[in-house]
Amino acid sequence: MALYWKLIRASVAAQMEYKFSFLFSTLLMMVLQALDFLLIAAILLKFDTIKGWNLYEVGYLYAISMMVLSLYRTLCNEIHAFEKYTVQGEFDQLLTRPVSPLLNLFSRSLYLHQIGGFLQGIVVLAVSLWGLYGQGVSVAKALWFLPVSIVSGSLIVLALGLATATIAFWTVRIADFLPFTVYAPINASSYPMHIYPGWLKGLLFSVLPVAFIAYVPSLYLFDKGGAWWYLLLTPLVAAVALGLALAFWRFGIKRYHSTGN
Amino acid sequence: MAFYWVLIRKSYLSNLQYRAAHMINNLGSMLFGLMFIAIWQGTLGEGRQVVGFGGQEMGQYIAFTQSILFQTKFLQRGFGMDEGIRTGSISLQLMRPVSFFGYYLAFCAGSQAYNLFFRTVPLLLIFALFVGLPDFSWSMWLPLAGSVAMAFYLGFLMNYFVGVAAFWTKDIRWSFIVFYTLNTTLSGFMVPLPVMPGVIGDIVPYLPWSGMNYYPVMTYLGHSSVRGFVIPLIWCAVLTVVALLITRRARSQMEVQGG
Amino acid sequence: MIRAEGLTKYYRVTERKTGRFAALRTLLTAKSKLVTAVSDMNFEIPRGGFVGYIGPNGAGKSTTIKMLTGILHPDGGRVEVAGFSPQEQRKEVAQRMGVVFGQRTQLWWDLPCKDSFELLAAMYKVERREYDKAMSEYASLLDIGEFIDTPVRKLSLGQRMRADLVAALLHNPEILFLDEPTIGLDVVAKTRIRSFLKELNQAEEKTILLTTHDMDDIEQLCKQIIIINHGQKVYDGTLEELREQYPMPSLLDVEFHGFVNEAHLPEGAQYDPTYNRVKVLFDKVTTRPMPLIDRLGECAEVRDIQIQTPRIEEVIRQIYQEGHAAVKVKS
Repeated sequence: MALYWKLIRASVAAQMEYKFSFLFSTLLMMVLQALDFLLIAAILLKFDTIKGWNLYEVGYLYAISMMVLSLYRTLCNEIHAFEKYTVQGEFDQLLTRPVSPLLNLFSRSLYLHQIGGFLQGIVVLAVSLWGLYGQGVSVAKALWFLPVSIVSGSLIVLALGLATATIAFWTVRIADFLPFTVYAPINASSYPMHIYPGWLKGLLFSVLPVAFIAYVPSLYLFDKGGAWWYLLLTPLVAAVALGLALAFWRFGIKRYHSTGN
Repeated sequence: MAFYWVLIRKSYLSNLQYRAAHMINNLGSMLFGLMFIAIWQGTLGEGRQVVGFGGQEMGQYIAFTQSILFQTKFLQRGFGMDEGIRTGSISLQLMRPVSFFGYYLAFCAGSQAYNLFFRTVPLLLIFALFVGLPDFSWSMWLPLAGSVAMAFYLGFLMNYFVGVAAFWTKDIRWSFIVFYTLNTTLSGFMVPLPVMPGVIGDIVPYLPWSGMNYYPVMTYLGHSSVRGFVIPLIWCAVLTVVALLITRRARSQMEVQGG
Repeated sequence: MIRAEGLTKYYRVTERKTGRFAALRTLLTAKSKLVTAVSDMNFEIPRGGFVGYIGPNGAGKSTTIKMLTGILHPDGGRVEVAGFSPQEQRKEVAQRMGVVFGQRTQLWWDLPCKDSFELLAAMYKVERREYDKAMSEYASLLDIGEFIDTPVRKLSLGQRMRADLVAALLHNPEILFLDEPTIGLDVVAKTRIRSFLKELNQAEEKTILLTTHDMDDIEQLCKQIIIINHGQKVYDGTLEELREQYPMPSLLDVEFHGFVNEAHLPEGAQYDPTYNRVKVLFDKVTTRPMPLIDRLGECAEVRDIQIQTPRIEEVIRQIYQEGHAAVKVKS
């Protein structure tokens, strides 16, 4: 653990060397990413609601998705970009180290350039909760639940990312899998699940369990017909998903040991 | 001319090697498309309309823009010119007895043709299962082909600008992101342009990006207009001249700074 | 075939700021200064010449080549290639010239070699008959048949270099520019490429300009060598003439096992009793290494032998230490 912190500090120092360029690029990235949401906002401003959800409620879902994705990209970049290890054969090097390959990957994983999404998420979240408060909705529960939401959500994204990375042991490259396994599901989790057709909803509640990141708890948090135990589902699903992803990862490594690449 | 034709074919073939990976990628595009379709259909519900379109037609709108994504927005970043400048291989490119602009145009056309067969068509067919296809009449084919061709050409030009920026800035990630975002927001990719709020909605139909999604998809949905051809056509002409001028500047820029 | 007169090129270099907000300040208040890359360069290469263009990194080699190929325009002086000005008639010059960069390929990464050849043939408007002729001739000389259908990204460095050479020759150019064509190759591949280049130069009278850091390339191939440093020509002549002025000895380093009879050692040998080894400097041209090694072998049992060939950078350093005055420049 001490080693981990040491590596992270060194990495932060290296990335902060160009402070101005870093701040500038992070800010620009934030503004540009916000445009994406502004398009949706434009639709919602015109039509008020999407199947009964208003702009602030969708904004809450969007903000949580944005924050957990950004946390994942910031803290687990090497998992996300894992194919460089299989393409360039660097994974062998990881296997020669006296720590587990996964821990080793985490220690190299900090990538601050992706933190902009988190900050942007905070802004959208604040605006959304403020707006809901203005409509007379109680936001206290949502605030209390926020840490659980973010930690569990990030772990769900990590589980998806890790499972995708594992595919690289068979296919070497994974870039073409990511839109299906990570990008599209995370994006889909920014909107209420009941707008999707049945089979897609089924996918987002099971194999790609992004429905549990923000949608399921929000059914209770904003009194949309959910029960209190919906809140428990989020950390539970996160734990199960991560467990399965880890098992798959170990299976992949075992396979790598026996066949190489 | 023979050379450019060969290059188009070879560029097509080099894409063809990766078709298995691209099919997997299509699954992601499909998911994104269905998500956007669900957003629109969820918003419009039963009775509501946007620019005269109900849920079904907006579904077809999204299906079309999502299917031509790889020819307009997801081109290889700046055609790899930044890499060429970093490694110095751009010198070889500049030295050859063919036009620099023409080289990249042919290169791009080959990959666009490939994507037409291996992304656009399969995606449109998949989406058709969910939202159907608009009524086709044979008289529509020519305007549609012309409109789509201009969209592809505008997509090429935008990405060419991103690439040529490498002669000045070395790091073209930012110009790529800026152009990418402008494409997303100003081309009518997700939102029909007249829906954009306020003055923006009045201006965007006249900007070059409108020719990359909005006018082609309107033609596809049977709402072609003279304006929808003239505006992209003018931009194609103007931006070609700009691109050629910039190419000349890029050559002399290379001379001032060396390679 | 190639003539340069008073060739001069400056670069404008932006001075980077350091400290706080360096990037922004550079952007706003950047001052640029002129740096001389090539200054007053004169040389002439006859038809059928085989010239080694030599100098340390950053000496101005690639700048010169870029001016010869028309990519850069000189700030002073003029250059003529095959009777054309590369600046005004770039495409005519390109048509008469083949280029190989050892460090980067001109082949299309994702395509089989054969497709790259067809693309280049179309680019240079090579007729079918000529294309077939070039392919049958060079393809067999360089033995590229075995990998002609393999995508370039899967080729070994040696295979890629052979394919690159064929690619440069398809349009039957009169002039070849080769930028470090043997870099990174193993001995077998180097030998193969050298004998091919020699053949090309002798049988087809192609004019070849070669940059290299490899002394063996120069010794075995070049009829004329031009040495440049800091953008200026410091030597122009044959290798033999250069040798006369600057002996370029190889070093034979032999480690012995057991007692060494010093009296039997050849003349000029230095014995180091601490490590029980002997060093002999010898000139490869006048002395053959095998008899020398045999002779040393008679002194005691040999444990290890190393031969260090001279490095061209060493020669340039020598030239500089002795000053320009001593340098004979053929004009």
